[in-house]
Amino acid sequence: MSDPYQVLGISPSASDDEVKAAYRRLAKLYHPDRNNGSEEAEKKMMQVNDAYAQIMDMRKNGGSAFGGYGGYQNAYGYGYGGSGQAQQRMPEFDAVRQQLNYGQYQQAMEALERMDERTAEWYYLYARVRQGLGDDIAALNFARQAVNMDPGNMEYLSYMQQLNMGGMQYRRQGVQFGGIQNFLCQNPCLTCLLFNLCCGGGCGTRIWCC
Amino acid sequence: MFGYVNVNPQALSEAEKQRFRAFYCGLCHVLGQRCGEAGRLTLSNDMTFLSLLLCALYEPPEEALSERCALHPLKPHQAVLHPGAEFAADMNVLLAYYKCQDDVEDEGSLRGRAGRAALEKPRARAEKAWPRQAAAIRESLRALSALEAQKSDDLDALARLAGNMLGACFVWKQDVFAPALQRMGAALGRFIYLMDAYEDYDADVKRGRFNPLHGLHAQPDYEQRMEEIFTMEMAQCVAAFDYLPIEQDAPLICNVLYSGVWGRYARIQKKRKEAKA
Repeated sequence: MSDPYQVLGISPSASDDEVKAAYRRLAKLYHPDRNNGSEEAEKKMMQVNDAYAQIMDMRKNGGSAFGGYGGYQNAYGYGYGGSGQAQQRMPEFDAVRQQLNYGQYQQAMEALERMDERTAEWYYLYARVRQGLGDDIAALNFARQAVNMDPGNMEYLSYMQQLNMGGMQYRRQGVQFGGIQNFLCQNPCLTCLLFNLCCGGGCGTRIWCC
Repeated sequence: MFGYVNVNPQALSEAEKQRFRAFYCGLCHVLGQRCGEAGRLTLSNDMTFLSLLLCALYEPPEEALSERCALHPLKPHQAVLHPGAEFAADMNVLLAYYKCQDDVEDEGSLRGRAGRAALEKPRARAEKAWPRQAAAIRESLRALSALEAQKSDDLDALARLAGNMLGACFVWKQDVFAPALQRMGAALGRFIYLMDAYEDYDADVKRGRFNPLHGLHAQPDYEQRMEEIFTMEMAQCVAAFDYLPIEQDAPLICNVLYSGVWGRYARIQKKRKEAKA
């Protein structure tokens, strides 16, 4: 397989914007409409598409808050003591931690749900299990619960920060576009005005209400 | 689904405002053409945003149109036409139709019946053209109704279904960008679902209607948690957006994604503050 950077004609140190610009330039060049459906151009276009996807997959999946989680486990999974304070790790959770490391989320969840006592560590581990199952909202909530119950625990805190990392970046970046500030949406959408579809919570499945 | 996706006009230049407007009018025009006047009435900002996004991604030749319409009979205005707008119009019709259907099934709403009848023909055509999207809308809605009927407060499960619905509507072509568009739409759908539950909370409690946030609402740091959740969903949405090689209208799209979508949230906060004072 050819080097995707070579296909796009850029260096591996190119910024994301440079990658995108190179893609746009080549996509226009090989666009079927411009090449009378030439087979050669079609082939080139496919190569360009593949190269772009390959580069972005590498860059985005490696760097995202959720995707990069494997490294986090190694760094904090065992024996991390935080700020010199001995962290309590209950032996009854050993099996669950093991399952987490192997990605056996369903089993880990069942084991946790069989336990009666809900300690901070229980909430922390449950958060990680739910994250593994793709339940990001639950992960956030249970992690917050763990931190609230044991605010001094560095393991829980850094996990919480990890979960919120994407959000923090979003907020920082958003400032230049107006951000989450107080502004009023003066124009409710046309649909609502005309059809009076606004139902203030009275209508059927929730998604429609506005 | 309607009313949460919008621009923050205060952070836009006059030209940018007109540009968004032109996509809005363009979508309205296409809806009128394809579905008649009943189609026009379903026009939503959500699908205007989709039209803008698809145009920015694929950069097709645009057709500019200056027209007057029933709503603005005096002043002619600019409209942008492009192939992606037709797709967005079809998604708009499908979403509007199934909204009516949902109203009829849930409460036998008369308005729902009328809307459904008026949209039947364009719905059938759109469904034939986009069977995958139509099936995703239908199935997600059915599952969502069932979960809500069970009074589920599994926010991930509920929001995921709403996300599946909008995620499918964002995928116009099965190409290298389909997964990123799907993720973008899905995150936006989850955001909208949760924002809607958040906005309706007090009204739901007053009417004795189930609201999936009841468990979270009991927490002392409810507001902080909700903001965290909303922010996380939008962060996932822009992460998917960043995957796309978009330059055209990028500041306008970012205005929606980073700021515009928070318009209702800001208004809710303000209202609650005033109510407290």
